[in-house]
Amino acid sequence: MGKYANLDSGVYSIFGQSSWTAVGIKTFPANINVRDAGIEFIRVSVIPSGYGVNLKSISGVIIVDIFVEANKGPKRASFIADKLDTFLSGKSITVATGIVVQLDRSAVSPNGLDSDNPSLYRTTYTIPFNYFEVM
Amino acid sequence: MGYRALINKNVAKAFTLLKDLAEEITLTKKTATNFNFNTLAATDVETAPVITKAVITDASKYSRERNVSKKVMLLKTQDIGEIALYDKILYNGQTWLIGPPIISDTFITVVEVQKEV
Repeated sequence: MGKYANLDSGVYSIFGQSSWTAVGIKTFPANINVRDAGIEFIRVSVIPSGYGVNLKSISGVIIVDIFVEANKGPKRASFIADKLDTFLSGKSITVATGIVVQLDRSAVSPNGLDSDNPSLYRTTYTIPFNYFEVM
Repeated sequence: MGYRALINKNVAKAFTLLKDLAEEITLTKKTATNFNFNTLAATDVETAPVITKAVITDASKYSRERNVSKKVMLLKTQDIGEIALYDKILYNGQTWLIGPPIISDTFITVVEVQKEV
């Protein structure tokens, strides 16, 4: 696989772990139109938008949109962001031999009511990454 | 007969009176899209296709970067039930995807379908 597919494989596999599914937060990737997502879910996007240290490496940011019920205060979104931190912040993911994704520190930005569904409140969790592949 | 049944009966009658303006389509609905985070595979769970009639109320083609064809279809809600974005409509042997917006009430559903041309 190429670097972009490897990156997707490494990052998204975190959300396929039984330890993440045990958290019980519905999780979807970008570009999936989901039915009955409910009033609480997250959407994960991997954006490999920066250069890496060599031709096979790349950097970027993981964006996780956290959707929670509106009019309930910030507590639940912060709880989910903390859960995400336990799986992502400072972690190193070995995708294959000589291929590693290193995750940095996270940040959270409240975005107000969701434009598509104003009964949900959207908070954006972002975490930069560096993908290294040995040449 | 209640109002709901009465209106549905008249909607069906209207579609019959439209004769060949009401054209046959096949609607395939998704009940779910499952995504496997380990294999990155997305799979649609689809219902059995629904064959019904649609009236094309508008058709257009436009091009910004690509050529896109769009049609607006009027459907009987009673026949199709609830539909969602990216459900598929087979019309004249070609597959069209339902895009936003979907305007629907108890009796009539209006959808925009699109495809690349």
